[in-house]
Amino acid sequence: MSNDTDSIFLEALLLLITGDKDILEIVLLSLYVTLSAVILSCLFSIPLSAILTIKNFFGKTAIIIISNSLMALPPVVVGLGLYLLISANGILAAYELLYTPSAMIIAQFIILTPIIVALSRQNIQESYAKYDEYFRSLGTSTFQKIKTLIWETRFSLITNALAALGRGLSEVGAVIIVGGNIAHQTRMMTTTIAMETSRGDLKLALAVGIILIFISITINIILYALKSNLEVNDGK
Amino acid sequence: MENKIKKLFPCTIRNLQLKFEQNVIFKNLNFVISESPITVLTGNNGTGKTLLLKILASIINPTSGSITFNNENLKNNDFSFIFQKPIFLDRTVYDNLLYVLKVKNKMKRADEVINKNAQEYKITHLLYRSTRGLSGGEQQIISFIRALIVSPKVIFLDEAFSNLDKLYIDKIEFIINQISKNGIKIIMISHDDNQILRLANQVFNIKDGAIDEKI
Amino acid sequence: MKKFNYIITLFFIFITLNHSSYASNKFITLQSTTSTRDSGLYNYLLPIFEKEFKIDIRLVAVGTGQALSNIRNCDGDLAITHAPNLEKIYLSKGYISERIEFMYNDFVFIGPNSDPLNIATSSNPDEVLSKIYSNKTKFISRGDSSGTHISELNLWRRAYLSPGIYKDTWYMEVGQGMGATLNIAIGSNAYTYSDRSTWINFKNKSNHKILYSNSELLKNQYSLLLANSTRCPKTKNYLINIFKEWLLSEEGKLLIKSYMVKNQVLFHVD
Repeated sequence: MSNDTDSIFLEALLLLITGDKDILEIVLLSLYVTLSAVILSCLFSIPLSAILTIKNFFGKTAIIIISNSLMALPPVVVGLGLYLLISANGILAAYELLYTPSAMIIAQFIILTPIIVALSRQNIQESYAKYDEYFRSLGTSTFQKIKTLIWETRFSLITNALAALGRGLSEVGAVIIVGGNIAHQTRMMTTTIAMETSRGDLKLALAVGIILIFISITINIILYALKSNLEVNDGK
Repeated sequence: MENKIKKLFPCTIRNLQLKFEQNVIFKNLNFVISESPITVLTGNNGTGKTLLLKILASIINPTSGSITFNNENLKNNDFSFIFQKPIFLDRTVYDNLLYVLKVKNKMKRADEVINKNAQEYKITHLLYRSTRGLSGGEQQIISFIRALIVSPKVIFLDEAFSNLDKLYIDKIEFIINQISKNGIKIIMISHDDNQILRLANQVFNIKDGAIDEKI
Repeated sequence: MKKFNYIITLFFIFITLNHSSYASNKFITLQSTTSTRDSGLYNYLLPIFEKEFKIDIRLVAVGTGQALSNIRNCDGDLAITHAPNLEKIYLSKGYISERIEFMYNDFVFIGPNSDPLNIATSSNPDEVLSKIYSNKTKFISRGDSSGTHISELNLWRRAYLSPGIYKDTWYMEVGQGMGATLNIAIGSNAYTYSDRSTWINFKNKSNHKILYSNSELLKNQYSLLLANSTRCPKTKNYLINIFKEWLLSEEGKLLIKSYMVKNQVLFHVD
């Protein structure tokens, strides 16, 4: 049995070395979908986190409670909910989003945003505690405060984005429901692994799995480098 | 030039009270800050001098009481506050100076202003360094410059000398004297009796939650 | 800040262009089952159609139940499934507008090489099931209302046996696709019921093999289903009829007949 495992592993490596075109397409699509979701989410979440930190307004508590609850939502549930909205009988059917990468981007956006908001709020709050009185002494406007806080916290925020990226790349439940795992259209790394495993084609599943692990390790190395950069500079 | 101060001072403080949870910091402060160039707040540690200074600058709100400036209210653009431990943004010295000019809408010829001041106070060599690596004294000087370049009417100083060498203290005292002669009102905290003698036109002592003017 | 805005604008333009490129190609959505996909037929057949007619076929491979409910919900233009009873109900209720039987193969019983129950010598499916039932031998069922599962349930019914009461002892319903079911059967050294094409393609056979087959009694009928454009106004009638004509033509039949894995024909026509 261990002979089998070894040979599967070797076959997987061979696939990677010869640069299988299908695998490349799958990897690029996964990166496109998750990166887009992370970027869009950051554009939305980070200013939102800053506003939640600085301002008190009607409905603020509601937003925080909803956001935190959404973090605990299993991704498949997000997938199902979105599917009901965009399928032909759904409210958003007219946009023809079902089975497109855009639907997967939206699903991952919904899944990742609460996480990025929660993490960013923490970081921005720390920053704000430091600069609060300074801002008051200068009379900075809210908009200026938001801009400054985001810039001052940028390392931590990038760290959060990378963590979200890792999370999104390993997600499989939502994207398979709204994407349909269509060949050359909506097939991602994780859905490929699930599919090939269930077909018994372990070498292909393993090959894609190795790439996923490799990307994950790379992200973590960057995360680590950024974090130690942060620590060095925090020691005042 | 002195007209600038006359518009704001004398400043009357009435029935000022500050409470944190159950602790009463000040009970009932009543005093008047005069038009004279330099007013000093003194007193033992923990008596709330810093808090009082921050209240005067409207960085903190008192529990009750009023602060009435002479003819007009104190706006953010009228003053600079120098914190005990300087707070800088994580960027170069130049960018920190640029930042306050931007916030206070005084960007006209910003580059000139910054460079001129850097030359005058001899810190040109520090301009493009990150604020992270500065020594305590360097930070304090730059804090001053930052306070000055926005042309304030009032400067609040919170124990700006606690960490400095004598060399720097002399330098900064010189600056304070100069600028107060140029019509800028200084309200500062000091522990150093000699310094108070050197600089102060008006002295208040804070003790047991009450304030007391020393003549 | 300006550079940032510039990059972000480019990003949005990129995503928008990307999205519209998916919408603009001529395409049909085909709902089918995972087992049909796993047979490899579509990888062989569809590119030929796409090249000849310049119409993209977007294949969504899910469980039989989902494929049928998808086309009922207007999320597909066409479906290819192999659950005749369900399909006929759908036709009668108007969920689909047409049902055309176009290819078939058979189901088989899979088990360990050692075949402790001697299934291989059975003369009919009833006998196979009786042996399994009376010996309470581990049997893995799809348990997912797929064409394969429904066929399996029919067999138990015809043999007057009710394995359902032995759920969670020897009769295991896994609720997954054929591949996953086979994996579990092999992993737990159990018997199972599969369609032949998935088994032939399955790459993890280990020590299991086909023990019993009967192409008449265990026929697996595949049908092409067309969405009902009255219920589903967005159905691409023109395009799906092109596909239907092609599939049922001599060319289509020949292609299906000629699809072979390991020198075996997987799907028969007529």
